[in-house]
Amino acid sequence: MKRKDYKIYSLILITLIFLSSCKKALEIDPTTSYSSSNFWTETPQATAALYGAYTLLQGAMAPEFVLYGEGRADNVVINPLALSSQTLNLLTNNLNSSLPITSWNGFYQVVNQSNLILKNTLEMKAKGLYLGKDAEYASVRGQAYAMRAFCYFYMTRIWGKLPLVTQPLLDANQNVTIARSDTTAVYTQIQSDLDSASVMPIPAAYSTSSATRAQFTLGAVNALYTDFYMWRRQYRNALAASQKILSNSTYALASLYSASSTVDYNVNPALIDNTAYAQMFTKGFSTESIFEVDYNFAERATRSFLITVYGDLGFQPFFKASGYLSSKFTSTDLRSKINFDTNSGIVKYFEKSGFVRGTQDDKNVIVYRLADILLLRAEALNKTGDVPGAMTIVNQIRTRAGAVAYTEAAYAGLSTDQIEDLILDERARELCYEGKRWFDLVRTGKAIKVLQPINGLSQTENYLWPISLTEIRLNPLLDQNSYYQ
Amino acid sequence: MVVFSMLSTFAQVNPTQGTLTGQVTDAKTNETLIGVSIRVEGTDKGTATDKNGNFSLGLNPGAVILVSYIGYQNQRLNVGDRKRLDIKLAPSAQQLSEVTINVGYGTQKIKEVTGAVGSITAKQMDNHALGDVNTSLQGKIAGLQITSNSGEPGAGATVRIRGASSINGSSQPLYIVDGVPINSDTYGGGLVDDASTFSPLADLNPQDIESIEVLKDGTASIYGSRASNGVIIITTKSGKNAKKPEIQFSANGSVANITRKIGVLDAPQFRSAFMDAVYNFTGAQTTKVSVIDSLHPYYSKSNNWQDLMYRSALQYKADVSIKGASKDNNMNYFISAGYKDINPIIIDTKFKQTYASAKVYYTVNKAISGNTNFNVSTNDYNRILSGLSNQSAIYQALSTMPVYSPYDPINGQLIPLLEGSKPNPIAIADLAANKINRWRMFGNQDFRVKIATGLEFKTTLGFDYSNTEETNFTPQALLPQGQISSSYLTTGKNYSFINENTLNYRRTINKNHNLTFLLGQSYQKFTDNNVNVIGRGLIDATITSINGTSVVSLYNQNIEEHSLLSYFARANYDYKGKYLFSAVMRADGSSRFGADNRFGYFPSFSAGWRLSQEDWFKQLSFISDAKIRGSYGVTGNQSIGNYAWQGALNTNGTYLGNVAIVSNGVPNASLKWETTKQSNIGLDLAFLQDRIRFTADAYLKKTTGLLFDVAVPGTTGYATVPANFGSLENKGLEFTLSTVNLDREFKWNSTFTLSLNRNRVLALPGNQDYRPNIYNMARVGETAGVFYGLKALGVYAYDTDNVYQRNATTGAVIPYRQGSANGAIYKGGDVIWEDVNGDGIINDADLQVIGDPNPDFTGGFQNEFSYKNFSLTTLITYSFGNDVFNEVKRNLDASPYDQNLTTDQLRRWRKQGDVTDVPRLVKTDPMLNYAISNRFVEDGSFIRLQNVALNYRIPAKMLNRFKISNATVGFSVVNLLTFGAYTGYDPEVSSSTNALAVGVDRGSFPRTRTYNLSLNLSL
Repeated sequence: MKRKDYKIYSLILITLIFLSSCKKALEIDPTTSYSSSNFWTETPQATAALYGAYTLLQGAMAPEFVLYGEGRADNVVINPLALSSQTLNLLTNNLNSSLPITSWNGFYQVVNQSNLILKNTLEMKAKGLYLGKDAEYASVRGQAYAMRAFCYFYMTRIWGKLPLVTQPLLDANQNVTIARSDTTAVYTQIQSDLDSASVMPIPAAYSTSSATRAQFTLGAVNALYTDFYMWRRQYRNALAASQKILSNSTYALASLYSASSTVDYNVNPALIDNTAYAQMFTKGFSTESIFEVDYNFAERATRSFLITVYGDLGFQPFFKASGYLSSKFTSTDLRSKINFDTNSGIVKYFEKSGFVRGTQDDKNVIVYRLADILLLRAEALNKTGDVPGAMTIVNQIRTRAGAVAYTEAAYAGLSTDQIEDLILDERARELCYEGKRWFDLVRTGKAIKVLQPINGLSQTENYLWPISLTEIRLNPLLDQNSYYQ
Repeated sequence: MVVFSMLSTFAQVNPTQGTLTGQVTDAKTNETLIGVSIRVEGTDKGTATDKNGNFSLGLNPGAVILVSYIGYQNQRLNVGDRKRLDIKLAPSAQQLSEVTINVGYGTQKIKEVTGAVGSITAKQMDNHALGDVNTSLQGKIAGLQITSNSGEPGAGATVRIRGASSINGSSQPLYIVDGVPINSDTYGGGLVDDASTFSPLADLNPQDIESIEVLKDGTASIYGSRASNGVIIITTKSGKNAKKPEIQFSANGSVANITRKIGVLDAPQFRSAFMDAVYNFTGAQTTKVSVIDSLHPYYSKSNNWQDLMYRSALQYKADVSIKGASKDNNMNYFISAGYKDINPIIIDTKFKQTYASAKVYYTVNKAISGNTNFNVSTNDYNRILSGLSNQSAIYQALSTMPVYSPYDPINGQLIPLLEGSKPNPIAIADLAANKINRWRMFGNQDFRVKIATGLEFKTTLGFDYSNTEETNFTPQALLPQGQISSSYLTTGKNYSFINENTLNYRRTINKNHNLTFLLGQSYQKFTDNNVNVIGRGLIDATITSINGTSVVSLYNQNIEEHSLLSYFARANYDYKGKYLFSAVMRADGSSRFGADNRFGYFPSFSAGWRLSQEDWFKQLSFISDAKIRGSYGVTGNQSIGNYAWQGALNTNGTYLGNVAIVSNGVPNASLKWETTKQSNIGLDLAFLQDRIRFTADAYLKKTTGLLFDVAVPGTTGYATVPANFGSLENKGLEFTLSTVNLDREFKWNSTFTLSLNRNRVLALPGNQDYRPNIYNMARVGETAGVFYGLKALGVYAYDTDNVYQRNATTGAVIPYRQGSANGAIYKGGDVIWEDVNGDGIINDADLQVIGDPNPDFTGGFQNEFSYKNFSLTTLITYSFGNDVFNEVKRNLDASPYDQNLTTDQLRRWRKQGDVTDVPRLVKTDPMLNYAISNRFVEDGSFIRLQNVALNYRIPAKMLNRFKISNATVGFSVVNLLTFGAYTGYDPEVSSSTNALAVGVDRGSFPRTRTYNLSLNLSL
């Protein structure tokens, strides 16, 4: 090649290089994740986003539901072998805004995911993507509404006033500081979301029995309605909502005591593992279950971390069973054998024999089950003057467990308030460690009466929990709950 | 002598003419000089001296020879009829200004440079071999502050050029090696995040480096969008001018030790403190057997676990390199290989690294030449976890109760879990497996074509490829509370490809007007491909890899790409070398931003005036050089997630067997470059024939539209959103003074650097305070990343000392309360906090700025002494005025868990009336005496004797018979002494490279002191 040639070639090359337009070279889209530009374009994506919301709910609930629902109440005491400062702060009613448990972020992640689903499925429908898929559309949206209602209801019972976020964050430049709305507005939002879910309508059941228990259904919405109305002290509404569950054959009490059984659980305590009642907690998806959050170790080693809070004291869980609770059980009540081991370890969720801590710490979190709704109904009946109706339910729960039913003479002459105490005690026995007790005490206004002797709780302002310091720092519009100011 | 003349391949002798032989030596030291060019005037005949300084040149009688050598004054000699001519060359410090340095896409002589450029050569780098690029730059360039994040091999460093001008995670300078921008983002220790960082620069063998230049000011805009944190240009060694092949060999052996230990309690002190803590909390004596039973066989020890965990470690390094060149330099090569075996100072850890490089230059014909360059390195590291977790060997060495026996006193076996729940630090080091395997290769191929006189085209293809595999295994034996054994694997392939094309034109008009012009284009594409797998439930510690797990809890593959397309131009003009001008323009387009914000434009302009070239100035003969420089430039930063502007939805496992997808990134279509505008004025002065050289720079830089993952309220459902927010300013002064103090047989040179940087946050979104973590804060008007917390005024001696208000008439006391009006009342032994708002309640409203992690001034002082064959080098580095937050201490003393405490607790408040600064010890700290406060802010100022090296050059006559041209033995100590008040392992510590989160000691790997013996041979 002559020298002149390569000069020419190189000049051509240079010209080409400098003139080349490489605009395309700068358009790079993600290949292993979705972006806002290629998601919400097909209906299975919206369904996957819904399951995404459930995985976020998994993260928000366990084991936090134990700390929220039991940590400040009287069913548990500290396990002195495992001094956890956060647990201690809860049990001694010494809350402060630095505790990790004061963060609501997990629930708001679910809210944002629900908001994304609600906004985008509406747009997808408008584009005709849900043509001929009305049931799928109703199912996805109904569950998203129910999930959002659930989160707001769960949160308002903890923090009271809440920032109401009903639109997803779609761009970083959107306003992110939102002030708290008062509880009336929060309740209105919850009511409206529940109404939307039932109008869609959300499915009453899904193709698999596990999905029927571990995804929001019409039954779950009615359970949520019941719980919500009880919290609002709207007893007539609660009775109406709970009646819908009672008349739904999907739900039936799991059996525990059988008069014909010859098994002596004092001799063979592990045999209680075989009862449907015990398996409600150890295996999940029971006929009694209305809504539970599924955790499955075989699915990406998902765990609910209940062994960090409950279980054999030798493994240093945060809590052990309190004497206040264990003394409430009579000797024939099989539930005490479900709940406790001989060292006051809390074993309700665990197999009494053969529990493998490493791989079986994936017990489902039961959010609503029939016994819970029945006992709420009993409370409502009591409040509306139907004491016999209430006591029938209480006795139904008692006899299932082998406890002696209350005779009419035993409760005749008791005041409404005393009956309520009686029902609350039954709830404590039946639903202990399921994250219900604190909310029961607050809902019925009996928290100070019960807890003041135990941890000094003395002001109703102290019912609410503090808002996380981190959150207050990031959002100047937030005000701290008055007790913690 | 004859033998050597014959060996001297390139000294060609023409026997038909007269032959001149001779030797060239240094006029002052009488050392022979190798490679001195000797040319016959008016011809193209010439030669160079061999390795003994001898030359032989055929020439006609009466010829005139020109003798030249870099760093020496040229000589023009009339040979006459002499056959032998021994020549003494006088060193010419003057010619240092003739040295060329790399200013990005080309070189300039120092005298022509108009920007603020710092430069060091191989000679100035530490000659002990165990450091890396970062450590060898410490203290040597004014304005460059390097803070190693830990003492771990290959540790990451926080590298700041003129303060922090970005506040996102990777605000490191841009690193260019032989023209190729290389990946310099620090990486972590695997999926188990222990806050350790590692620097990809450790993949480069410091022995292969010829020179390093640091572009500090706006003229770095030639690198546009990645230059706002400055540019570090590394040039590796070449075989240029090597003539005959030269083999160099060096070996280094070291002993490394921990520099100091942190004071923790011994067993009796601990028992007493622990019993107090429990009693003060519960009102009852503890029943914990390990604490109360000092005769118990398992709990009778008084160990300082640091003694058991740290060791004297042996470390080795060997390097070999060969270089050579053809006589006309039309071909030359440099090849090297190195091996490093560093045992870190923690037991059961290993670090091995190998390097190789090759650089070949060749000329195809008169117009075309090319260059091929490869670097390869591998490293293999078995490490322990650092940080503050219960699997961190560093933290457990401090926090483990001293009473435990590490080995079962009955059967002598190692006890993995002390008292059934506390991981034994020795067992952690022994049983857990944390590994990093890394493989890196980068290189480039370029061709240059001379198209016309002064016009050159260059095209470069470069690549950078690394493969990192990191594994973490935690065995069941170390896990309390039924936690389950786990194995983590992450493999990352990172590669980038670059093509750059430049046209260079150089022309001199009328001998006075010198013009150079550069036009260029560049395209670089980056790909990261990561696979992460987490498995759980391994049956034992035999197979620790992912295939030993019973269930895979996470697997994902993440591929990310981004690209950068750039056009750039630079014009330099000078008039008679007196008045210098330079203008730069770069346009960068990045795939990381939306279509509307994709391109950014980065101009700069600079000028210089060499006063010393003016006629009137030449009267001032004691000033040998003087130049005033000024520059203004715009640079950018694009360090944000590759798809941040688009938002992201990722799979998040499954629910009931169904794929679950969650949104975990918010789009921001208006995301754009961060922009830094910098002005600089500088002065270069040299006195007394350059024996004193002084450089001063003053700069002001302002960064706007800071790119950041801004923390947002949790109510959004996200932790952060990507955004451009706020602005900050850095201004400062830099001084470098180099002196030749003695220049006789005994020589003494010094270099002193001093940098002062003042940083200020100018704006934040809504001008709200911004807190990236619980320690640091950005507040408008304050320095970036100040510490924020409560201020302690002391400790209440008596319960009755807690008086907020006293009613004058009744005498009733309103005390201070914690947290709220219903909060607990402080008692004797609690910390007295400053009540900033005076409301009698100590809470969030009383937080204040309690410290500043940014130093007032930093620098170094380097001295070289030599006498005959001995030379002694010392390097002192220093940093003044910065604070360190001692989170290690806070964790040890505040922890609710059963663990050891620092010796501060010996001063703790015990009874009414005690006057002390350490509060009452109460388990779980219900009164929050251990909240973030100035009690843990310590002065991080230090002066460090970083390096002392004594070398002895073995006299040549002893070496000749072994055909060794040069041999040096050396002894050096690295990190010999550190003066400072900090009570942790080392004041030079930072667990984050984020400028807003610096200066927090979170239990990183302690720095080591090493004693090194070295041998260097040249053949």
